[in-house]
Amino acid sequence: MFSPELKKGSLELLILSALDGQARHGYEIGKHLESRSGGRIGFPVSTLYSILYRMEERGWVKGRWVERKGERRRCYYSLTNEGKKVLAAQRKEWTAFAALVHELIGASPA
Amino acid sequence: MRDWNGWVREQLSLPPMEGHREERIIAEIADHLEGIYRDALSRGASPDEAEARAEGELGSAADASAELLHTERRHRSAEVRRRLERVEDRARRRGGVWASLADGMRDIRLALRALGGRPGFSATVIVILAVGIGATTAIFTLLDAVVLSPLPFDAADRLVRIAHVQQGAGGGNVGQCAAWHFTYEDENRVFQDLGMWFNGTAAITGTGEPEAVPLMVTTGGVFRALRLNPVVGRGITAEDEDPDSPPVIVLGHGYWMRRFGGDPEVIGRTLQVNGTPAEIVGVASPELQGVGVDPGVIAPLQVDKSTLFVGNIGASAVARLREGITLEQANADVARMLPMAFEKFPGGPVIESMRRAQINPAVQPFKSWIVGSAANLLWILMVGVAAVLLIACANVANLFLVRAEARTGEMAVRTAMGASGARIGWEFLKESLLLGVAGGVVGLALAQVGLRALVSGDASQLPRLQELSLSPGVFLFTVGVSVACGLLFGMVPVVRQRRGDVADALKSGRAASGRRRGRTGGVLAVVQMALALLVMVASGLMLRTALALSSVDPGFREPEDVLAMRLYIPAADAPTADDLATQYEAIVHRLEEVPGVTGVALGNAIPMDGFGNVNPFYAEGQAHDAAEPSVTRRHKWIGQGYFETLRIPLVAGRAFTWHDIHDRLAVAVVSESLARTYWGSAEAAMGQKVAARPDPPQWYEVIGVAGDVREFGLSQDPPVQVYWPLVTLAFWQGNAPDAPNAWRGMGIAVRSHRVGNADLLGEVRDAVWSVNSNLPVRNLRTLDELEAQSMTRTSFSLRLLGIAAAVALMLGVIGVYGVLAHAVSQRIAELGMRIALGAPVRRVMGMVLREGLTLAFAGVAIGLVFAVGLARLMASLLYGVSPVDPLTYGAVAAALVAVAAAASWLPARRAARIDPMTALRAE
Repeated sequence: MFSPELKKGSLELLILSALDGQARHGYEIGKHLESRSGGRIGFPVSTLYSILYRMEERGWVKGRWVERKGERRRCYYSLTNEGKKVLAAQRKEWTAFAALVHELIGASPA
Repeated sequence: MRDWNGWVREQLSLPPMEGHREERIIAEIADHLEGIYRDALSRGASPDEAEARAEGELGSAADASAELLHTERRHRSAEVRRRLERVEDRARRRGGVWASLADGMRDIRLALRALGGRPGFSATVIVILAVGIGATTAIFTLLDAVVLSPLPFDAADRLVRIAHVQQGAGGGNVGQCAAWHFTYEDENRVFQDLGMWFNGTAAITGTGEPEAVPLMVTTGGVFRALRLNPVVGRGITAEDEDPDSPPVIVLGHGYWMRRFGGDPEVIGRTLQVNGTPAEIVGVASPELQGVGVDPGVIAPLQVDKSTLFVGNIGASAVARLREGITLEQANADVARMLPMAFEKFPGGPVIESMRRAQINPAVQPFKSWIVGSAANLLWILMVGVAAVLLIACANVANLFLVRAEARTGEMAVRTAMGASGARIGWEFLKESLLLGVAGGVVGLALAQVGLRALVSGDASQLPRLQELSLSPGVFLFTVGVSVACGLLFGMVPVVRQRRGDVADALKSGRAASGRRRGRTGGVLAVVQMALALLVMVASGLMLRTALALSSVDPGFREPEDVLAMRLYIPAADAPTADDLATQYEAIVHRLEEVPGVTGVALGNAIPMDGFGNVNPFYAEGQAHDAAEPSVTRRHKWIGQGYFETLRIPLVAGRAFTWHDIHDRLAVAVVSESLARTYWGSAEAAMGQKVAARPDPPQWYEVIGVAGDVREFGLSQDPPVQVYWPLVTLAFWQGNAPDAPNAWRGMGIAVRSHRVGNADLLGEVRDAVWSVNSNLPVRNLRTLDELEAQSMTRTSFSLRLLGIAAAVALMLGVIGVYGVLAHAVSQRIAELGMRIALGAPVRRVMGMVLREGLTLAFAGVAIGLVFAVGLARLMASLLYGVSPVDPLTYGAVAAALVAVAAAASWLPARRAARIDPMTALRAE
């Protein structure tokens, strides 16, 4: 697990990237990030949904209630066009930032 | 299957949100937890373990709920903001005025957001302003209704009260009499219409429990002069005033609504008024209350002019001046007509004394008579609350100065980049204006609450309260005051932020502007001190007045055990004076039998009940020169037990007994002051002869001398007074030798330890009704209440000024403290340097203290000058203390300086504790 301070700035980017190309419901987003990180990234449910609602309010993601066979009604989130732009911009910025940090602390990019 | 929805709902306990958003949140989180639970089960966990895992995922329910709510609030305000922005954009696209409006809206929105970001600061300012504006608005509402607004009559500025003054000994104000009225009606050149009326009480009987209502006996001219038309039926006509006409009455509007539910069918019905049937012919306009009485029944004044004489001068009179006539012209015309009255209506019992009385006209604006001394009282209170408001503004200005300083650099940069002074000024002003308006809105609400409390309590004795309302004038006043306040404290930092300061600000940062702020702050502190002193002196003088009044001897004792009431026995129930006296005596005896009653006083007036009689008075052996004005004194007619019941001490001799009254003995009791005035002492008065008529005198022998009584209230000197037996013979000029006189309306006071017990009231009424079941018992009050009522204005102004003074002192002291504390914090480096260079700590402290005291002394000196001015305006409210009472001024000044010194002490101590090294490093 990483320190909460470190995660704070990156959660939005992580959630946006989890929705890149695929609509997911909240539990799925959490599970996706957890499994992709090998269990090293997790956050409280309230934080996950707070961020989702905030991004929805900013118009980056859109929630849609869908009822699938054999499942209960769930809200699936997908990226809006605005969200896609933000994701691209944040990715670029994060990569540049990470490279800079690596350089400054004397480690080589993985 | 576990109900995750229910569990999450319970854990988070979210409040209802717009569009049931809370349901969505609960559903999503419940779904999420259920996912974790199923996952855990599928990985082989037991149901209990799986549940624990899912529950653990929510973490602390309180934190989760707070986090979600926070997001939600931001969501809502963002929604509002987006909508407003859309509206603004649309307006801006329309251009012109719309674009400016949109800009204004954005400015307000941004200012609101800036203020919302500092809720503590904004709330403090709004509360301070709301208190100041609320108090000012409340008093202004009273001032507007009572003093400023015109009377509710058409062209009310042309209405005058006709009154007269009597010159010389025993002189004073006298009202109107019928003989003068009819003379003026026939002979005047200045009045368009004029009328006169008497106030009294009518017993309405024959319909259940007898009822006493205020009675107005009037000429029709009153309604013509006031230009009031009846709301139903007709008014009083000239025929009604003929003594031979059948009795008719007009109902007062309030009584008509109360008693008859506003039924127009009441016209033509008959009421028993003082035992006489009278036909209802109309209902008066509600505006009639504007003359200061609210009569239930209005009857025509019927005068037989063939027997009319100059005298009976207790009437009220109103007239409408002809267009263009001044008060001086009206007075001159009345002076011309006064002698004519003696020729038109010669004869009568008092014509000689009236001739000698040297009557002069005293026509005055009708409104100033109605408003009376209330104008003075309200203006003084207005000054008091306005001072508090100004102090509040100065305090807020100080807060703004400190904030402005923090933004000096930012503003200087913007100025350097070409922002106009106006633009930068607007930055400050829009926030202060918004705060001013917010303070005004809260203040207006506070004022309404305060007013309701005032009117039902202390201020209930003010005239014209029926006209009280939140008028457009009051509303404009509040808006104006709020904006003015906003400008006032908003302008202080703006004015200080002159362009010339920019270079300074950029160069030297806070030091230079700090000093300048110190100067501005100092001026503000001086103003606050001066205003606080003003209000404190006013309340100090009222406090001295209240103290002086509380130590005044009213002349009677233990008023809390005395229940006072008034009765009126109509002619139908007791035609002659003898019948009257018999019936009153019977009532007194029945009251004496009520359990717990230890005494009953009967008199045509009870002390401080507002009734009374003033007439000429003569003493044997005291020459009354025909050329001199006759001397009038207060007269009272009483039964046995009057002095004993009211605990008025007998200084010499004895009081009347029922035997004296039955035997019609010609005996009298005089007040101590009367005895001293005429014969030098109470003892010397015994056996002297006194009379109410001079020619031939009907002498009464003085058998007793009673202590002086403050008949008109605690603040009025006790009158020189003579007491006569309940029934007198051949009393007035022209009375036959065996003609008895007695009064129909009498006051009765009952002494009992049971006063205050509700049962006693019922037993007293029953005792009265056991003698005559037609008598309404009215004006039931304890003597204590009558006494307190005479102090209402004092206690009213004392309480309000006291509160104002406390707030003024508190805010003023906070102001001084704030200025000094800030000055010290700005000068930490300088003071630290001084200490480092070896200045003794005591000297540094002394410097700061001296600065505080200089502000205080300057404020006190300026305040004293204004306080003397205000106190002179207060003279009529004061008792037993001079408007320039050195003790009050000295004590207030000393207290203010002492408190200012204490407020300076804290910053001074802080200055002394500065660590030179830290201070220098900070620089």
